[in-house]
Amino acid sequence: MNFLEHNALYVVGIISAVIWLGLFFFMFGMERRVRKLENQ
Amino acid sequence: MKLFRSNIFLWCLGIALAIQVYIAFETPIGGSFSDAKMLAMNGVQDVTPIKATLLSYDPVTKLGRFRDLYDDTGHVVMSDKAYATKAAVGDVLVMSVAYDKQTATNNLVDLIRVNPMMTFPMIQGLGELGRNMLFHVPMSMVAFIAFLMGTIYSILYLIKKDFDYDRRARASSAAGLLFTALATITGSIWARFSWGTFWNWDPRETSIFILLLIYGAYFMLRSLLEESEDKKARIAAVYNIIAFVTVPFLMFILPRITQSLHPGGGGGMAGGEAPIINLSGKVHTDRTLLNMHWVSVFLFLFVFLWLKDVYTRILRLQDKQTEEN
Repeated sequence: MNFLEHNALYVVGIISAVIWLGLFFFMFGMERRVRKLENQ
Repeated sequence: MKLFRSNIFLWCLGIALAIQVYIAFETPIGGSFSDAKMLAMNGVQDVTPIKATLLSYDPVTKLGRFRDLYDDTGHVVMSDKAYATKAAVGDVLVMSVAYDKQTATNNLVDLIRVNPMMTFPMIQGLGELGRNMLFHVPMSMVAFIAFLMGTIYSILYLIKKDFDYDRRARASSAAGLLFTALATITGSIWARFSWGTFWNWDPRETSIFILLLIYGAYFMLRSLLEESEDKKARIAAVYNIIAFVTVPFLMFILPRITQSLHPGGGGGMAGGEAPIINLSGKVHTDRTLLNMHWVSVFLFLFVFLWLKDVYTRILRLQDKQTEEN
């Protein structure tokens, strides 16, 4: 846990960025797939 | 919603989210002289970031005279290099300061920023972890809005018997569950650094866990029922309304009536009359942090609406496919 304790800010920052941007790109992919299905 | 059919809008939302994440971690935290002294005296931390305006600098003694955000004046032992190359009289400095208990002097460790665009406050007991207010708190707020919308759609379904309301209720509750889970995850990571453990069954953690179980049961109930679609939707709508009755209790009442380590929970360092959640109902948080927190709420609200919209459309497509078969 030493690494985590010394780099808490970076770890939390990276996790937050991954969660939010990951969710965004996942949603974007879903949006495209739904649009494609809706237009069929 | 038509808004989410626009690619430009979606990319703007993505960029805004990225900027918000960047701001949340790039903005320096700046406290006061009393913060540095108190944290050092209590043995919490040796180095504290403080924000102060440079009033004068003496090159002989290398002493800089400052006025901090509470209008307190104090001295910091600086170096000529820090002064001459980076700062000038009248500048607002954010700097790491080590308070020496023996000599009662502040020593400059690092000059973090000169004239920063904005700074976040130094919340004692939270420090750098206070940044979580831009993620964890808005997520919980959006989760509440999602559950509320889910309930409204469930009521509308029971009144109008239109399946589209049922789909929207499902989508809203699913998004609410996701946001609650994200709030729990971010809270848990925060707890690891603040309390030393990911999970310790604090009243707040327990109440959010019960909430996750209640809404998890909503989706289980739905998928396990072997009734007609109409009856399934009606039972689920009634369950959703009953489930929401517990939300204000678990989210607002329980954390206020129990002692908790959670900021504002009446215990721990950031407890008592704390920044956001307190019994007097006043917001004591610094304006900058609070405003940035509202930006987060606004952005996450759009993410929720988008999520709800996409899921509703998926459910519509699924139902259409079932009808065709």
